[in-house]
Amino acid sequence: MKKREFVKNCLMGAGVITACPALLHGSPSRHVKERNYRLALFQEESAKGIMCRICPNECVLKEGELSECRNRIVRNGKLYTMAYGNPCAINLDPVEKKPLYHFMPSTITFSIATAGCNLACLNCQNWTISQTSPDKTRNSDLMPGSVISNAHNYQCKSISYTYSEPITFYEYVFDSATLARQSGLRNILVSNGYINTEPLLKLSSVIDAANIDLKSFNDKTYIKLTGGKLEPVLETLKILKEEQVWLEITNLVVPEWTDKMDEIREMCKWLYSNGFSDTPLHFSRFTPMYKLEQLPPTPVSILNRAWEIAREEGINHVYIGNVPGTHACDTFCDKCGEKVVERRGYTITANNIENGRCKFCNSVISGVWE
Amino acid sequence: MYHVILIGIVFLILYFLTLTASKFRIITVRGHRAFWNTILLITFLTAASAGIFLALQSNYKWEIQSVEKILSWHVEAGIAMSFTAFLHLTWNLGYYIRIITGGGEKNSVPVNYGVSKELFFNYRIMLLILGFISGAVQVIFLREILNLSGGYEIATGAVFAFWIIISAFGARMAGKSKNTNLVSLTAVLPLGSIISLVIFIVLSKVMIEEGLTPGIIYTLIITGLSLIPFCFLSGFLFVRLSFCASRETQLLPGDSFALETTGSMIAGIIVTIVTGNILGNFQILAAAIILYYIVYLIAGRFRYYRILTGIAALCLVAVIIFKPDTFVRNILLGSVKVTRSIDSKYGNVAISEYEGSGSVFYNHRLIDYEQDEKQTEENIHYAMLQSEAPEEILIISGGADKHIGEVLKYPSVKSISYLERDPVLIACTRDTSINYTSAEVVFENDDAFSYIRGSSKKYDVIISLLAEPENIVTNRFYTREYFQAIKRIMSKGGIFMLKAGGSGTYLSDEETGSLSAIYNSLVGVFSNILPIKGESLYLISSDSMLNANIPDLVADRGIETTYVNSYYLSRQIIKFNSDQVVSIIDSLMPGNMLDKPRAVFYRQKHQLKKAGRYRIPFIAAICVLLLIPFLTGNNSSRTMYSAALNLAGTELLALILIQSTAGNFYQLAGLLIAVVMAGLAIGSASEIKISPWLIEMIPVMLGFLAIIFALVSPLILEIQSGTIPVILSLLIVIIPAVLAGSYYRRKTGEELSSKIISGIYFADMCGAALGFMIIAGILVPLFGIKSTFFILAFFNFASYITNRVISGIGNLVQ
Repeated sequence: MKKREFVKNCLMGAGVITACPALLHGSPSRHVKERNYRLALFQEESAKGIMCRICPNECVLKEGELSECRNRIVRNGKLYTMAYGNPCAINLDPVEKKPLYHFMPSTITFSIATAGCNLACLNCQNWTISQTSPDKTRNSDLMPGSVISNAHNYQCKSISYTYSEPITFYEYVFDSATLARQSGLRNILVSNGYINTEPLLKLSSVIDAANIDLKSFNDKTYIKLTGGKLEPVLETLKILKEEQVWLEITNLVVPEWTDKMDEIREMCKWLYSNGFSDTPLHFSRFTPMYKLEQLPPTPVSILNRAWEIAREEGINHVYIGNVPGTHACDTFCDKCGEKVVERRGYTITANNIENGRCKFCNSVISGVWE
Repeated sequence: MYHVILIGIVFLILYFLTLTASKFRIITVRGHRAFWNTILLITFLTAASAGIFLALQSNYKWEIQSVEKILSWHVEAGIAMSFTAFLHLTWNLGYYIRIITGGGEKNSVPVNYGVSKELFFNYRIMLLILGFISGAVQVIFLREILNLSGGYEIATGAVFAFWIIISAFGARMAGKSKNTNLVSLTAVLPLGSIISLVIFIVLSKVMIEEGLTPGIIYTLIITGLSLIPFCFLSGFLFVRLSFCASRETQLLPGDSFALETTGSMIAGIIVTIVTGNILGNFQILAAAIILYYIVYLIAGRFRYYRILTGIAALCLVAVIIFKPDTFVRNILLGSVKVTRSIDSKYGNVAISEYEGSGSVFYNHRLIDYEQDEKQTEENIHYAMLQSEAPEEILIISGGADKHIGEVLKYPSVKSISYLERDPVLIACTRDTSINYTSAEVVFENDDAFSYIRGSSKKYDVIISLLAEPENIVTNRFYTREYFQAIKRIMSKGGIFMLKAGGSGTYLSDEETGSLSAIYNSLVGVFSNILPIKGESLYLISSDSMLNANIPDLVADRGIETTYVNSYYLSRQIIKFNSDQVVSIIDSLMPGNMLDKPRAVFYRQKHQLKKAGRYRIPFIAAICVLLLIPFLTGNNSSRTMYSAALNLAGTELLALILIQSTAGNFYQLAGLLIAVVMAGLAIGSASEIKISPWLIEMIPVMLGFLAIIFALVSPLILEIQSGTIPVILSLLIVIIPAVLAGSYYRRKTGEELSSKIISGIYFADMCGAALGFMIIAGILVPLFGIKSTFFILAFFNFASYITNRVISGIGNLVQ
């Protein structure tokens, strides 16, 4: 066989084989409709392209390029969000599941998410939407007005922007939250906190509560586990507190990754010294997920130890999540030590808070209770 | 982040391999140096040209797109160049020293390759033990690589393909090699397996973060690099031994092939027998290596061979007494402390602990752990609550005591059957000190399909907690045929529940595809189906009405639970989620069937998505690589290629037929492989004279056979008895195996040339690899068994026609 024949045969073979992806990609691709495109906020022109200033990734994009979060694209020299009014996940959740234990307890929240995330956590439980783009997911047509009406229809007291990463569908969150405020609904942001200051300040004006994932207190671990950095998240916590958004923090304790007690102690010390002693801290149990499948679930003994450390370091409200039947789900008055809220699961079985104060000693219990 | 360590390790391994190959004269010293000089040139040019671009960009503020990528190439190539330069320095150190010290240049001495010393070899024994060690190492490595990657079919096919490609290249190189020190090479072959294992372990630890399941690309990189020492050597050795044996002892290459195949068959049978609580994976590997050396020493009658054999025998005893498996498993499963590793007939069970908390890993996947009340309760109560007064309960897999304990909370329960295929798993999840008194509890060791087909008992509630349909083996527990068998043993109005995959906030297209196929199969069997989203997605089926109001049901029945109760669950949310699941079901999706395993296709696509965007081009590239012998070979290679692809495909289809009918896949798989090997051995050893015309017609015969099998396969699936389908399935594979073996013998016997032997062997392996990969991963899930047989027939005919056309053109040109 001559060389020319060989090349020809190889090309033919390659042609046949490259047809295979079409077989593997069997399902039709989703097209984001024109109405789901909105001019993105916080964009800047730079010599290298259009810069997105929403999050610390600060993607610089050229015409047709997609952002790292996969839902921002440059068209005709402008940055657009592709995730406006097209959530792929819509659910009803108890607010305690977010988790928020000090914010409108025992209410149901209307939860929405679009595809996309600015991090790439190895253990993401929502990786099927966070690690993809809105044009590859099945989306509902739900413009901000419809979000509000649906939340009312299901008798929800709040709307949660959650699951994937609401920072990446910022414009949709902002418009929905503005309308929700006007109609008497509260807004909850469940986020990785990986956002720049200016967008966060704007968003804080319409957000009532936030649960921020503080995934580790070690910058190297942060990069390896999530692809992001620790510092911007800490900054987010400070800003949310300053802006008086009700804040709760979640720390997922992943065996071998984020379960070192000295790091947990360091994190708690930082929280205490930066004025977060009254901010509820949730230690959440890890179960094997996404790419981290060859790990055991977090032993409950480790979570208990983390709980003790947080209490020792002066954090007043510490909880353990993803462990049914745990003792660490009740709220105690940080002044008199009495149990002010007794919980079982997502249900409050005894409530000793009146007008936001402890029934026993009349001290203020931090939170938004009604 | 730049890949300093990774590039360093890859280059050092490659250097070590080419150096070793040159030492053993697999390649020449000049070839080794030429390879590294070329690498040095390529890395230099890449780094330099990228550097010039960057310099220009910086000087003149050019707008070069993706400048970061160029920078990355510049640095990565620079790293590679540095390592290569270091290696270059090591072999030219003397030269540089002489320049500095003024010692003058040394006259180069021609390399003396020596005369082959292999005459004393007993070739037959060497070929047999080569087959034996290759077979044993292949089984062990395949198990470990599948543990690493997750074990689904496309990954399996790709891993197997990689294995064969490396061996095939070894064989190809052997065709070009003239002088090989076979004595040394056969002596170091088993060491190759140890080096492969060490590389595998080191790369698994260096390249993969703790607890991470690597995507297919990383799996293949690790597989490829770690298998090179052993697979390359074994492929090389086979062709050299085969050629030398034919030259010096008139042993035909076909006979060599038969001997090697017989060795592999013996290894397969022995490994199958001793796996199953007798020996661990790494014990078997060590034992196989020592046995190899014992036979090698005796066959070679080296000096002191008696003493050396005695020492080897002592080592064998030591390996059996001091089990290395727990130690190695601890390294591989680094995140936990493995206290015990057991290799059962069905997989590896690693009992482990982490910070005092126990967990059980099955083939490196977590299957049981302490304090998982949430999932345990969901696994039982969603189904149990649907039945008014359940008496007879069947739990299929999932863990013994914890589930039985939940079932016993129902006072009406009279008997519980716990069914688990793997007895080791029962032992791991059961506390024998517990004496169940409130109800009869029976532990059954059987395949679920076989048990259900053979059971005459009726059950009120059947709960299937088997693994998700991520491969063809587990897929059969999610097929319409399985559901029909389940229904046959259910009492009137009985309840059946299974876990149908993930239950995230959003189900991807792939998850929806798999779910729709399963759901639609259930629709054809049961009147009512209720999906409940919990830790998993539960599908509850019955001919009676089903109730999604779990909180009220649990309260009414007074069952004490930690999680499944109104404190955690809300009727409104369960209903909302169930409606949402039903709304995304694709009602047009055909059901999941034994002969059309659609669910597994979608589950595999779902798993592959984790590997990132380069997965498809990567798999496509492997397929193209495997197609090269077909596209570039001569008529003989092409026919051998299609015969091997046909045989691999038929073997897989027969396996699916066996598991679909007899149900007992694992035990019968060994028998099937033995039959294939026996067929190959018969064909390649047979001395019956066959006319050349008939030999050339083998693809046509294979094509017609495939058509017959396509027509027979639906009939086999309809037979409910276990024995007849097994016999028929074994018959299906033996004829193509004999034909493939015969073709190999005739074609390699036509002209005594190591180049021809290696060419045909190369084509044989590549064809088999492609067959495994595309048939298991794509064709069967997409088109079903019958159509895949037709596709095989088409491929055989196409191969024949291509040969005829090329021959015709050749004659015209002449």
